[in-house]
Amino acid sequence: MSVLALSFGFGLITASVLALAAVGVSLQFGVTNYVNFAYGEFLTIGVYVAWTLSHGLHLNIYLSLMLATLSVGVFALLLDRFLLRPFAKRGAPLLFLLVVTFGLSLFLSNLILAIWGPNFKSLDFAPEMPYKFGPFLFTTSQLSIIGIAVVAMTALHVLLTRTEIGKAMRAMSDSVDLAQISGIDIDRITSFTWLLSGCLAGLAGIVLAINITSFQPSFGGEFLFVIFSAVILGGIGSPYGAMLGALVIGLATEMSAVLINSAYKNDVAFALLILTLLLRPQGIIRMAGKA
Amino acid sequence: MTDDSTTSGPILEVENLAYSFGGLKAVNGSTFTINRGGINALIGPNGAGKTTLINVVAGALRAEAGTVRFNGTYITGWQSHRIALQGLIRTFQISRELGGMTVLENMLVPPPQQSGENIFNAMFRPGIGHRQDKVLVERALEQLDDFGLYDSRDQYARNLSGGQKRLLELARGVMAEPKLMILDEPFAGINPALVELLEGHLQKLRGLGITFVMVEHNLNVVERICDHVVVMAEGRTLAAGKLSELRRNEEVITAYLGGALTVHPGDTSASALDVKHIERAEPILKVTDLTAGYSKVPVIQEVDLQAEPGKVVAVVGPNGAGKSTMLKAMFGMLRNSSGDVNLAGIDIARWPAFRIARNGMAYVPQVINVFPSLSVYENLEMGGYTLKAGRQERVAEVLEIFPDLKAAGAKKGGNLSGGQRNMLGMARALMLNPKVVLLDEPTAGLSPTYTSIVWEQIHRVASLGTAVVVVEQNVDLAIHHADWVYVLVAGRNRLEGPASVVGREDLPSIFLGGAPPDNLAADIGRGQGGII
Amino acid sequence: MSPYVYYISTLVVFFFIFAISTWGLNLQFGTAGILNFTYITFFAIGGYFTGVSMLGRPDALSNMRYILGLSLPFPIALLIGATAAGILGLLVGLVALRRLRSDYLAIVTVSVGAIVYDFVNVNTAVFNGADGIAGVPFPFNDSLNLDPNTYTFFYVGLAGLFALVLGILAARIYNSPLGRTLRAIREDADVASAFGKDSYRFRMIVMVVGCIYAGIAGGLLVGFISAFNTGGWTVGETFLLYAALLVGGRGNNWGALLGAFLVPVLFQEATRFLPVIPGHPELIPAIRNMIVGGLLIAVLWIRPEGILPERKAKFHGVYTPKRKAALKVD
Repeated sequence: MSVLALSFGFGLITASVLALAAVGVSLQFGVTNYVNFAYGEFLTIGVYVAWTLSHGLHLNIYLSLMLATLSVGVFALLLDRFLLRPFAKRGAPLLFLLVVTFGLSLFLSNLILAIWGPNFKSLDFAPEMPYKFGPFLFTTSQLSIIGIAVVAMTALHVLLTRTEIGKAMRAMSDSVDLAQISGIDIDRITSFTWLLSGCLAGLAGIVLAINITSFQPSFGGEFLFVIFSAVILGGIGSPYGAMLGALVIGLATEMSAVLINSAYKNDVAFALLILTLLLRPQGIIRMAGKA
Repeated sequence: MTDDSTTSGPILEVENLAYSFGGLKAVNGSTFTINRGGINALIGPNGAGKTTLINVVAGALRAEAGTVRFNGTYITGWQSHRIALQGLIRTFQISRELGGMTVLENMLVPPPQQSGENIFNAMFRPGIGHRQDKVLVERALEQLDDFGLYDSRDQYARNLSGGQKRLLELARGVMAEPKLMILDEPFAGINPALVELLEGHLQKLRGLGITFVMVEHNLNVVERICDHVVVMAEGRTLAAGKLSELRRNEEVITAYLGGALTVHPGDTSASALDVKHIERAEPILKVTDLTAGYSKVPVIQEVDLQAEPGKVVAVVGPNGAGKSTMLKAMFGMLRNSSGDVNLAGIDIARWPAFRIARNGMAYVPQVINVFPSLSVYENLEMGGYTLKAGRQERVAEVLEIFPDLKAAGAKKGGNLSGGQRNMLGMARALMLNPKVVLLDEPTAGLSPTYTSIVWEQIHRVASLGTAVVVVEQNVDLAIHHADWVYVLVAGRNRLEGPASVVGREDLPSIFLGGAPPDNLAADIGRGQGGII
Repeated sequence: MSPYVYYISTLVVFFFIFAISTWGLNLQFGTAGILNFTYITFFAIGGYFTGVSMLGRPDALSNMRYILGLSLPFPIALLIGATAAGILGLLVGLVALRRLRSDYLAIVTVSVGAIVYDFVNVNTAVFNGADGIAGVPFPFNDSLNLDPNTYTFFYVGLAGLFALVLGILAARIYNSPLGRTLRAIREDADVASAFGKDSYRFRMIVMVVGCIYAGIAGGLLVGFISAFNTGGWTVGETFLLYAALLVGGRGNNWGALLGAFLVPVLFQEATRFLPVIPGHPELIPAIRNMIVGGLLIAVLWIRPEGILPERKAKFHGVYTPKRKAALKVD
């Protein structure tokens, strides 16, 4: 198998992780209209809760993963309800909300550090032998990551296009005023969006940890700007843009390893972010009124 | 004030300017010339594109076609700060004072070419900035004194009253040493006594050599102080000249009223006063004494309105009359509002919008009236969001009322034509089977074909038993189609009555000025309005 | 010299360095409203470049690898450091300051911070990777030849001098027409444009100058502790400065000074003496960071203007108004 095919495979995995996270960011931004800088910590919380459940409480690993994902969603919902929304309802300017989420990221990452310590941990998965799939080489875990992402994206698509609440989310993204005029309870939809965003973040953190096998408290925060690159490249506010951006960034960063030193993978994401902002700041899929 | 390189020739020449918002041509071939040294007005009905035009001329928006020539130089496509430095200064419709800075500081920001703004001067030669500031401060204080704002000079600008903010907006603009000042509705929503004051200031400033162009709806003011008037409608310049002539211009009247009135004005066979004796059915919606605005300054005052089931009520009036504001206030969208709004016996005056939506009244705003990224079906589904069951059936039912939309089913809201969009907005509003529907200018910007289609639909909706309240720019249409018409002027009820009766009033005067002024004493006595 | 005096002197030097940094941040965030979420990176760049300009060529004995190595005297090295920080600020501004939305600059700066940190950590050729540089010669040591105790006092004076000069310059900027225009742009960039102010250009200037302040502060730090590595510029440092600015009073240079004292110095140092919990050396610093994060949020909720809020600009002049009373129209 060629190096190209191998790296393409890795690219798909990274893209899967990114897609989960980036869509979470886009959905939440679409409804609230500000970026959450503590999002990286949502990923970290997901992983640590999963670890505690499986390692500490010895729950079944799959059950732990599901509960952990849900717990981040609930956490995000409570965060919005009791911290962020009061700021927003007060009429706090965008600048303040961003600094608040920024301060929150410091608080959360250190809370995790304080509770769980700085050492690297791993989720319990036995080391696996990679299987050959055509020109690609995947372990079962890696395949499941791609699978999870595909399932999640499909489920999301169904949610957004077939369910009332999904359509209400899209409606709010278009115009909060008109949504309200139509009788939609925007507070409830906002809460649901945060729940969803948190779940996606938690899931993204978990699959990321499965992919890179070990994690420590700052692992989510370090990944944040790659997530942002995907979101901005795809078009901030558009979940489908986020998926597209994730695919591009994921493939680009992994496949760049063919040409350049793999230590520069993240630099590729960064370069793409800069290029996007210089050439087409609204991203690939432009959402009116968002950029 | 400042020296001009060219002291002859017009100061502003606009030629064939065009700008669109998406598919809507807001400015569509606007051409006019402004000569030096006068107070000019830019007037026109709602949606004529006046503010968009200002934004394009001042560089806030980029023209798609056409040219703008200022003082002999072509400034098309220039950025706004560059244009401002040439001496073209604009003010904003809603006062945009720099709230976190004092009044005096606000006055010190605009002057051009402040050497103290240079980083090296600021750091290493602070004396330059301070010396220049001294001169500017004196000038600013003089101006503030002139405008009666001297005592407020050290207050944070956000703490000024509405009228004071308006004065500051003008005074601040003058500090920028303009050759031309473009004012966006400087007289909108201010106390009648302040109107006189402001007029005086403009005339004094004109004497100092500043040319003015003001977008203005208050045609009485325009008549008093403007030498030259340009009329815009539907994005184009219609005519230009003196207001007294333009008032008699058929095209202008049509543009304002929407059509040559089929009932001739001046035929005072029945006056609106007889209206009190006309029997109306039991109203499903009763609005009493509604006073509301976007800030402490009310836009509408003590407005009354009634709507009966199955009948169409139209609300007309000149620009700035507060028609849209009235609908928003009725629908619970404005925080600053007082008065009674009674829907089927229930007092909904303090209810939030989404609660009203779920309890029998629907509202279709003028601008964003559909969800652009959702399909037609999905838009309707959103209208029926709160239905526990039977949503799909209701969608089908509503589509029967709007067969045109049925055909467009899967198209996204943003891709519909203007007429289809307005109809979708109405259809969405009907999803919850409301008793009352409020429509804000459903025919704005539509072709005559679509306009009649929309009014057909309105009749259909009414025939189902719904009470419809329509804000209509086109007075002719309103009189033709509505059962009862309210005329709102400067935020108050002016006339009301059956359509035929109202149609016989001297509407051109009401709309184009020349009518006797409102009861100033009543305004002032109530203590409402922008008191300084 | 008693260890007590030595400790206080070190604290004073750090205070001056933090003051300079907070003033720079005040220029960007407090005055112009620019959201630079990786201020510490510019500090670090300034520190590194100053350091490697003062160091000699890397040799086999020192076991370090780094660029430059010019053996330059401190003033010139500091100039290089400050310039490097300024150039990076310029580049970041070119990408992100065109758009007026704060999110964009915030995202770009966070990304820049992550990338530069990674780059320096991984590429040992540039600044010796995670180990960092060490053995930077003390500024002016050759010419002065002081004993270590006196040298500390000297450095207090040196840092104080820089702080004094930079503080005066920062105050001058704030009180000048430039400061006024920056605040106008912060309040309403569209209105500022409508009056001829090129918002983009002004924000770029502030971005660069603020970053230069960071660079100088970084250079001063490296000169003092003669070493620097990536452990010293975690993300937490930026937060510390934001907390300092918000607590002390954003927009107000005295507030920035107060904040620099209260947060990085008083709070950090006071908690330095808490006993290290055996087995969990990271716990106290973690809790400290949690408090800083919480402090940021709390200040924004309770008193966003800080302890010393922005002062009203007062102008003194001789002017007698012609109309004594404001026009009352009732």
